[in-house]
Amino acid sequence: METFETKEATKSKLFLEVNFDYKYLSRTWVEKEEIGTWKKTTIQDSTPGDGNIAFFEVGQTIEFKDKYRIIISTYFDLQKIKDTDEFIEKLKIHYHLLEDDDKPGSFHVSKIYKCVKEEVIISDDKTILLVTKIIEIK
Amino acid sequence: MKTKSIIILFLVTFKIFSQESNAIKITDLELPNAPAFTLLDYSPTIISTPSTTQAFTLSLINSISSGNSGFPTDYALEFTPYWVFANKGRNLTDYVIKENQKSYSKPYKNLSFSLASVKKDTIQNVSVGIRTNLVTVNRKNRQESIANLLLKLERFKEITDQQLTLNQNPYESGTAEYNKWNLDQINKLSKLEEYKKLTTEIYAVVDTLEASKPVFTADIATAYNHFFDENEFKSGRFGRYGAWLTLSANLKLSKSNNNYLTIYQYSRYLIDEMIYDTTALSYKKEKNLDLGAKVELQFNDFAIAYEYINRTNQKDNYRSVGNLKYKINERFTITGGFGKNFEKTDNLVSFLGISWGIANNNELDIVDK
Repeated sequence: METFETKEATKSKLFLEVNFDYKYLSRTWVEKEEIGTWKKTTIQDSTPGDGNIAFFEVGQTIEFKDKYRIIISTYFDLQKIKDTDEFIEKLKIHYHLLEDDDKPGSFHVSKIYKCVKEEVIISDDKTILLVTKIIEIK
Repeated sequence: MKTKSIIILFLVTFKIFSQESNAIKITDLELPNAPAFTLLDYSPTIISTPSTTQAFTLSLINSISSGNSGFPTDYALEFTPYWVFANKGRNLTDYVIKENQKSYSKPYKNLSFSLASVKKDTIQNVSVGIRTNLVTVNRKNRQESIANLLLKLERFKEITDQQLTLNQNPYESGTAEYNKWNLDQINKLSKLEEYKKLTTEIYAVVDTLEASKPVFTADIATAYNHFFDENEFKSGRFGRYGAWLTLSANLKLSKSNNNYLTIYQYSRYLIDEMIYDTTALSYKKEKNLDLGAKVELQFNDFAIAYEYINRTNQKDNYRSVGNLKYKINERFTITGGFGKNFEKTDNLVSFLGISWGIANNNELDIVDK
């Protein structure tokens, strides 16, 4: 689990981008989960077949700070991948989370997270991979 | 297997024949495409069009030759700035669907730069080249395939949404129970017959799109060559400059496969200062206009072709070369060529070689950024 430290939570919004290169089928879902509960709501998903998500507004920072965590789940179809272990080893997903006030100037906070092995689960027949990144907003 | 054996046997026989000749042997290089290379006329074919859009292609060329140390002596690098610098995701949507949805191409997207270093006897050639595709007219059924693919992807979205339902996981994220629940969901999905059938169909459409050739293309290229003699830097001088236009039409031989008859038309303006005049003891300058054509038959991974180019401002000076190509896989190709090059003496084209293509974007499984 990652932690995103905000700077101007009362005046800002959160923006997120999910970016990776993959030729075959993939999908990404972005959810918010109320801390301390299991309640989840999907706030964005990718286009069919492609798990990349361009920058979008996640919501007001103050609504997320200490209340909701962001869950980003990315599915990969591995039927065309010969060496799944090597694939997992080389897999790079960039999660770019921004805190910004929509005014000209630099972002309050800009952070790029990468996926790690512990976030990966693979189906028993090794044809589907699911990577789950969890980010808490502080 | 039998077909492959016959092809290899033919290529080996062809090479033995070429080794017996004492005329010019184009034995150490082959690169079918990059303008920096084809400017020199050393390759088995100089009439060609780019096959795929790639960010980077580094080609190492080696021939099957007894005197070869085993290391490639000639190199060519070609890169396409749009795919190198544009912030485009190299994924199914951008690379396969969006690129195929267009009926006509955009020249800036296909603009590529090439560099080549080629050693021929004591002459070291260094060339640079640029090319781009001016016009590409895609097949009508390509658009239909894209529409079909988009429908299948919509169904794929529905199935993954309905089967995975990750937002209904009844456990708090990050816990072992949460991960176990997600694992059960992907295991169920992986066993679903409709999912397996649909994903197979999607990949089949993508493969068809990638193998499909356009109806018509028009490509332009220009290249400059500088050469050095006897490893002396100060001997460096202008060698060649050329600019050429290649038109090609692809006729599909059958609806059910990707075999093509391709007809090319080729026009080149060439300034050549590489011909040594033994009487004047200096290099002489020539300005030439070359016009030619090529016919190529492609059967899956095997292609056979014949090209004829006439040097219009000189009497009886032409290039007439037959060539064949067998693609072992995405990175290795065996190429052979035999015929007559432009010069009036020492003009035998005889070549058998293997080219190694190291291309970024060909295999998009994972591209590290």
